[in-house]
Amino acid sequence: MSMRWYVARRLGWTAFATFVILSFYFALIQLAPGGGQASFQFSVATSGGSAEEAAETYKQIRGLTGPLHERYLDYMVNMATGDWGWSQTRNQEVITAISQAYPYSLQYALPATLFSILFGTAVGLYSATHRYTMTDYTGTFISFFGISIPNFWFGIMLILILAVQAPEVTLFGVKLLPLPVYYQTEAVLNHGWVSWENARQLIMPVIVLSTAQIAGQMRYSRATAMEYVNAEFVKTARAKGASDWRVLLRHIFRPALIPLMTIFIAEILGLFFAGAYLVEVIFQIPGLAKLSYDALISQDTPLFMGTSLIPILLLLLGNLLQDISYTVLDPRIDYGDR
Amino acid sequence: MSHDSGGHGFGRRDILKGLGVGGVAGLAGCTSGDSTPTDSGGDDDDGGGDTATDTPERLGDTLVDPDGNQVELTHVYSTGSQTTETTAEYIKQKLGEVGIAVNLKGLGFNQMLVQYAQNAPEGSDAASFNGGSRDESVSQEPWDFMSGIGFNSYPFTPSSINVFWSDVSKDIATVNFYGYKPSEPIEPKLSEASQSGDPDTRLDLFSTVFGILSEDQPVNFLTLATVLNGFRDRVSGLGDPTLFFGWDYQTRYFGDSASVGGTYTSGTSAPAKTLYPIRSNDAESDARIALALDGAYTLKGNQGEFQGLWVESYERNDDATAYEFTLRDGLEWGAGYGQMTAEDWVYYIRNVRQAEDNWAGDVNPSTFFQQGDPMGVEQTGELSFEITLPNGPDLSFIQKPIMWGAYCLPKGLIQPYYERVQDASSEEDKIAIGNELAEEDDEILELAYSGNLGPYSYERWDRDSVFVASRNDDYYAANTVADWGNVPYFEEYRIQVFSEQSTRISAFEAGEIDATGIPQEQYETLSQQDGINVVQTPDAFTGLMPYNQRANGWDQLRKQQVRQGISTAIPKRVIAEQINRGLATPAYTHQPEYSQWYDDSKVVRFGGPDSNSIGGAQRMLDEALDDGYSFE
Repeated sequence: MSMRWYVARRLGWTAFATFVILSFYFALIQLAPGGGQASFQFSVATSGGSAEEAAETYKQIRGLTGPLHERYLDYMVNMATGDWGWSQTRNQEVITAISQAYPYSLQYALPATLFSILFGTAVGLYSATHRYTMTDYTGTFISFFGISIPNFWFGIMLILILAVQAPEVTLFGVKLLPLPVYYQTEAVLNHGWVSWENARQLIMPVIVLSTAQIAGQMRYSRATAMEYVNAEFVKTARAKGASDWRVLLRHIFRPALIPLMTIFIAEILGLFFAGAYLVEVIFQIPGLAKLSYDALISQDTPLFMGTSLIPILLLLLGNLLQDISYTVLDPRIDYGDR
Repeated sequence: MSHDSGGHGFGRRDILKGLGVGGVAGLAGCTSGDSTPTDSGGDDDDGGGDTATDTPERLGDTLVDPDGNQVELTHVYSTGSQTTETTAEYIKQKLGEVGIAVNLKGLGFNQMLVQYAQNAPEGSDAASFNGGSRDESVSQEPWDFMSGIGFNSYPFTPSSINVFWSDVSKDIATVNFYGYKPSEPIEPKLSEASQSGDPDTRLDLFSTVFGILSEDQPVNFLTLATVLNGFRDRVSGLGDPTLFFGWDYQTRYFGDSASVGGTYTSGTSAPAKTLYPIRSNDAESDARIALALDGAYTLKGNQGEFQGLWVESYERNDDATAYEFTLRDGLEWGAGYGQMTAEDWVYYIRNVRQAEDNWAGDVNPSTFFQQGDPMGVEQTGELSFEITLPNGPDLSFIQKPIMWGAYCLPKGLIQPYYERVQDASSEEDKIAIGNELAEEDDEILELAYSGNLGPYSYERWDRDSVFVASRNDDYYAANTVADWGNVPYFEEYRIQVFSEQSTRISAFEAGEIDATGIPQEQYETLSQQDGINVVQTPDAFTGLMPYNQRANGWDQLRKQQVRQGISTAIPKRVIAEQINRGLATPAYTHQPEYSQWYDDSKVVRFGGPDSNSIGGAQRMLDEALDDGYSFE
């Protein structure tokens, strides 16, 4: 089997899985009880209006009129052609809502992800080769702290300590504290994306997000590298007089990179649907995750579908890329039997 | 809908633990608890009443049905509010003392409405909140009590409560999902009161209705909450804390004297859905629209007095069947639509608000109808138009949300769309035109037509984040309306959304926002902080617990005395003072005591200090329940 045929088969499978998942979503939404319709009807009824007529109005303005099969067909065609519908709770196109929200998520997810990949992997590798030292214990403590502490609580505590209670702090002449409690979009409008005014309101979100990510990265890197620390080829390299850095990077990191690619690709792809629900909700960042959260809470079906579809597609794509990357990184892995 | 603020700062178990002591102390202290409730005498803040007798002894630990099983009832409540959940658990605890087992079932508000409130006759798909006969129309799921819901008491237009309390067989009873049949006709009394010009007659009729409701107990009226409005103390000119608090928000300013300057930021917990008035039925959307569009007129004071805005004055004919409104001169639309005239209003009301097929997707399509019939709308002058009522007089018309706060759109903006609607061949095509107006017209999406009609002008709307409006230098009301000066006084007005309550409160404490609603559980802490000013204002919503009198509820709930007995077992003072932290008052009927139509002497206070005891409740139930029920 050629690699091209293998990739084509995987792409076909991805398309089929997407179709099934979209259909499943459509069915779920149809079966969901009430939605916002009931409270809309109730509001009209308490004003003396007809609940039945209110139901018609609700369907009318939400585009829920017409037979089910027609709505399903319209929905699938629209999804395929990039017309992902109209968000009634925002009064704008779903695609517009997503494109407006994305930069807000990326601006904190990118530094948090890069920092956690670099720092987490480095500390993990270092811990693996320096087991049971103070550095190893410190790294382990940090990772367990990051894993154990709930982002939700950590975020609120940071706000209370660094934004509400803390006196102003100046470091090297730069006023650091108190940090702003919540994210204010006018910082971008007035000063641009890359500005101190914008950056300082991302400090707490990046800390919260990267603390959790570093923890996983560090533990995973450490565990993976441990498999190779005492391997025969590592011992051979050391016997031949290779430096510690060379052993670490060329003889431990490289084989460890293959399983680590799973997590790297997931995190890098995650940047295309960046955002952490709790971080965005707590710090009031109008990003993708909060968009999705609000869509779910307000039962804005088209918007929720749109924001859900992206991670699903990324998940499918990620699986494909991971499988292909294995074959590239390690010639011993053959795609022929897959 | 429930108006308590929820929150998660205080443990539910902690409260209930406290109630174990407080409840007992309360009962011992209030000394009442005789087996039959007494009419209140109004000599203390809880009604006083007759001198209490000793608390009757309990008849048993368990209420047993004719089959020998303990009576088990289902109490559904909407989740998301700590106060609602605690109240439901407290009610379960008190009814457990009576001998009734209560199963609590918490679920989301929408789901509760769909599964438990909406009902329809068998075989019908058209569920509503009153599907007619209580023997034939029932909800999807059986239930007995419901919590987490509140009804507006309309203290200035009490005839509006007919949708809740008219007989279940009447079309006008659009919210009677609990299947209530009044012991005396209520709807004719409300109708007569709304048409009577004699204040004494009105008082007599309205207060009689409130008396009937307090005695019938179609629901257990629980509490009237207060609204807690937090401000940083740099904000001045807040106004009087009446029900209409904020009617003159344009006059607020920073500092000691009224002068223009600064950015005012208000923090809110929910985003707006739209800036299109026709499709706005939520307070958040209205709050943003109102910054750019004042509306026809507002109400103020303790009795809802008329305060002209776009409408300078109104005249009522002798029999209160016609109201003529006169617009101010000098009201200008934006986007080149010229002066606002009566022609705009007539065109808008007739062709949009009263349009037969609701092509515009009006979310309040019954506004300009009276009992299903369209109100007459005629232009009587360049700046005046008249609204006539097709089904008889209504003295409260001005105080009903029909013209009060009504918006209008320029004829020039609507006309091209409406002409296409007239040419459209199918209903789908008409709807598509309405959706095009709502979703694609930039003048609608950005309030470009607002001109000088509001204190602020639209700047930007970051949907999940902030709505920003800048001072309208041409505002028509500056130095014109009431005794307002050079309003508004803020250069910029922002409404910032916070999905997380703790972040919103932190931003308020840190001074990053100037105003926000205060959750009950944080009132004490925040009101004592320097730099913070918390203003309490009354709320027109009554928190209540409906009794299901339809066929899928406990059949004994159809008996007035059974409902009275259950209400007697639940002390409202505990709910108001402990669960609501003293930020609510007990309710005994569907009208607040500050209403001019409330007559204390006609209200029976079940669950009040004079009519609250377990033993008393058991005796009432024992007397009223069918043969075969007993306490063991």
